[in-house]
Amino acid sequence: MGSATNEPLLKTDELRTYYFLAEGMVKAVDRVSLKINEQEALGIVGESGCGKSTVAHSILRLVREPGRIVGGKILFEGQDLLRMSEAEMRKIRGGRIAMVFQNPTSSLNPVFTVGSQVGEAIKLHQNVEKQTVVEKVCDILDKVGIPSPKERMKDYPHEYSGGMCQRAMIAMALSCSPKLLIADEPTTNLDVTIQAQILDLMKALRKEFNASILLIGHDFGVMSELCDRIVVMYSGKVVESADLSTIFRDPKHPYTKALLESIPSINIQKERLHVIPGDVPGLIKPPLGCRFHPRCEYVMEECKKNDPLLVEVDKGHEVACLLYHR
Amino acid sequence: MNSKPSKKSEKGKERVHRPSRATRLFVVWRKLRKSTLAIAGLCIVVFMAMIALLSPMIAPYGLLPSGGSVEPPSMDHVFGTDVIGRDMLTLVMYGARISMYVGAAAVLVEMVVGVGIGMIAGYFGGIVDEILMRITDVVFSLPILMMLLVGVSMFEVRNINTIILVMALLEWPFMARVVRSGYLSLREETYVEAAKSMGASSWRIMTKHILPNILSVIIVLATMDIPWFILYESTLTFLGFGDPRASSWGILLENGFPHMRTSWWMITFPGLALLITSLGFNLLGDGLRDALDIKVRE
Repeated sequence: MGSATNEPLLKTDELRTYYFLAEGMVKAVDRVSLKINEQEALGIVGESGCGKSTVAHSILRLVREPGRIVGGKILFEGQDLLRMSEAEMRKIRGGRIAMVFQNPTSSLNPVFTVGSQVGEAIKLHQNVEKQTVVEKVCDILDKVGIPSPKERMKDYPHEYSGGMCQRAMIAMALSCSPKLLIADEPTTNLDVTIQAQILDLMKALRKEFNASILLIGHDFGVMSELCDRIVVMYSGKVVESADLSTIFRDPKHPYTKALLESIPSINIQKERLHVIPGDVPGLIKPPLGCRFHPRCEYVMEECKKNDPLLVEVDKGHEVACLLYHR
Repeated sequence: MNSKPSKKSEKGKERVHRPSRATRLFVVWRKLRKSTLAIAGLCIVVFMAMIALLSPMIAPYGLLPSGGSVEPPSMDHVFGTDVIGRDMLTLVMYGARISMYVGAAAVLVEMVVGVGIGMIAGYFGGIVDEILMRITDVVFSLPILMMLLVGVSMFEVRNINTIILVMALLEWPFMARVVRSGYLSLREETYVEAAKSMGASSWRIMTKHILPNILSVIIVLATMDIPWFILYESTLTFLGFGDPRASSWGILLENGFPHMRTSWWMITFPGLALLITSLGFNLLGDGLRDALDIKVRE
């Protein structure tokens, strides 16, 4: 947030990524427009299968078969990533945009030492000598809080704990000082204390490296730790987008409201935790009209016919719901 | 409070322990050492390799005919002599040179072709995989001995290297299939995705990130294939399709065969050498399979 320049660091414009399965076409990302400003942390929240990870993979153009980016633009520092050659893209990956994955222990190659893997990223993007690589690796491992990095960099991933693996992954991602760090549920597989440590680390490093962050997850608690702005996705579409405090204080979309009500609270005594009825819709044949209507408390007749557009209800607060369309 | 000093000592202990931390190779060796059969195999292979390397120095006689004639084993000629009076022990020792060279060279060629094709097919998948695997299927379905004879006959000059080439070009499909299946599953690993997200090229991911993960499988397969190549070469030579100037164990068998009834030593010793070498490689390969598998605990 703050007073960033007018031009956002990254902007997706009507991004569409579809999966072409034998059973039919899945619109995993359906006309998603996002923007991330310099030094901003944006969070994408949604249930599993809502397309939030696919957005992340699309940005790096790492969508797996049978998925394909079928349309839209991804503007990064003013350049369309979708028009770049594979070689240019390789320079972006790891160099300008880096990614941290969900499962830290399997994100590291079991047959190489942690140090050599972090060094690999440096070798790919910077033309430096072997000795410098070792020094840089040592330095960055120290920054992410690996104890006695000089020795631990010679360890294999199985000699690291899950939290340390994630620290190492973050080190790898940050080793070339990227402008944007994409974190795809970076704390999902870690226990709560380690989760808090990793979030603190990311918060600290964000300041130090001046990087923007795209955090993907389903946990509002994690999001609130780090993000300035939240985008809520449902079934491949953005349903609401607002800054952090607004989302918590004044959620507009029924889905966002329901999500926030599902968070257990120690202050409010309730018999049962709120759940959203129904299931995530099958994406091969999504419901007509608003995709959330079969599960929505406030469903109206026209919701079943018309797909709502994203409209700005307040400054910087956009909602895609027919309740706010007049 | 009380836990603090103990924690410290634990840390110190770890430090002391650290320098002796086992490298991967050392762990493999430690596991291999536990299997008597594998060690026996290793000893045989090393022994044969030494003989092959040192035969000109340690062989008791030269390769030229002595002017004598066939003699049974004696103190002078432990393995006896052949029809033109050459010492059989010397011949078997020099034969090791050819046979070991055949095994090693053929396996190298096989590995280049098999690993290359399997790697590309498995990593890229799709139509590339389809085409490469159908070619592999065709080569795999060829009757090997027939094709060896046909293949070797195609060359006007038949020397040991053309034979090696033909053998390797017929044997690679199995390795290609195994390597392909390895790549097919490993390319889905998160660390491959992570490597991609760091900007590594496909080639780099194939060779640098995935290959080391299935190197153990390749090593085992290669070890098990070496005796096959030695046997194929001997078979070809025995059938008269070998390189007449390369005195491999197969040539010795061929030469000795007509005299089998009268002079048993002429085929027994080269045959034994062949048998023991095959056995050695097979035992070593079996042992390596267990030792290199990370999942098999010590």
